[in-house]
Amino acid sequence: MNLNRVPVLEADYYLERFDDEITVYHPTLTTAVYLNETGALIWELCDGTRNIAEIIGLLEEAYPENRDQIQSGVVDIIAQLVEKKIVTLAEQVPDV
Amino acid sequence: MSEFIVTFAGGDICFQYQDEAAASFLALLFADLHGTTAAEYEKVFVFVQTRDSEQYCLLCDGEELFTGQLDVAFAATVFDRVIFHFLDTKKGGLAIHAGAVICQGKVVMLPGQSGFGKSSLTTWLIGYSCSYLTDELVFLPEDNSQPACYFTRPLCIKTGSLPVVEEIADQDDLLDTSGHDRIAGSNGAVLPHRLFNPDYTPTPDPPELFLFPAYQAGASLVIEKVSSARGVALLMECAVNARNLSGHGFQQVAEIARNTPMYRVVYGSFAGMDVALAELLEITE
Repeated sequence: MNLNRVPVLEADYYLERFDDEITVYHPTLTTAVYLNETGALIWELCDGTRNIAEIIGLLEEAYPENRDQIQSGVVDIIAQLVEKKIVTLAEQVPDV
Repeated sequence: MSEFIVTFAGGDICFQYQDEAAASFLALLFADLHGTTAAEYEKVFVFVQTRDSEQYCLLCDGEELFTGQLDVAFAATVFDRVIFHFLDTKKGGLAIHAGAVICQGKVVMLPGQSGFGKSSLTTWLIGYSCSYLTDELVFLPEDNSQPACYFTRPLCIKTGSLPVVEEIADQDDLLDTSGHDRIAGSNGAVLPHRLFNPDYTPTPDPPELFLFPAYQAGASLVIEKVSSARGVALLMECAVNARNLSGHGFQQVAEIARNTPMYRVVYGSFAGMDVALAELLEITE
């Protein structure tokens, strides 16, 4: 996965929070995605302005003790979201 | 023409038929959903006997839906059509693809897509002195003061699951159709649930426990707690009328998941299931 890509959330999703976890449902795609605490954090950081490398950098800074696993964790979760089509990867920050 | 009314979740469907064989067939399929005559029906299906008197045509709106003997395949078509109709029209709540039983006084719901082992586990639970409600569909009204509706139909057993059922029933003549109270063939069987469930009592109670079956050949039994967030994702996959509902029923599913314990049951056989289930029911007491 190209870490310079910017994860962009599909619009018009429903989101429900349960403590630290979330479920996202997209009515057009009829897809539901469960994200555990880590996944929920990554979701929050996918704000359409940060690229994947920046998301990894922020998490490494916040959780230096988990540095070894953060990159692969972020890539796995974003890949899962891309596969479910709830996230697309833009080459650059989209114009708003 | 005589009429047989099928009622589910406030909707009425009418079957018109002419002879005793069709009447018996409908009585087997819809014994527990048999309604009373209504002024208007959402859908009318017609059974017409063909010139070859062994065969019947199923008609709806002038269209021929199926022709054949009143066998397992015909029953499957009738169920498909009826269920599709209800799913297509129901708007006041969630229709969930699920089995359901009453276990120690509480409704246990087993949502799952085809191939997840929902019917096998439901059938096993009946053998574990649970009372059968459905192996196919549950309707949970958005207004939770309204009764839950269980699509109580005969057990529709695929050929591959018949050995499990025979073991549970402990009956040598399970597939003996000479009494005309059941249908069996090379593609499975339609068996009255009262064969296993003589004390059947319908209930309006909503589920108090969700078990998500996950059959995996060769797997050991694992029962794991499902968090509310994960439960919503799993349940949305089984919400078969979501497109009819405001917000696709997501809020209702979230509300259910917040308030009802949920577990995932990974199994490759039923070894140890009785002990695990007893513990689970105790925990959720």
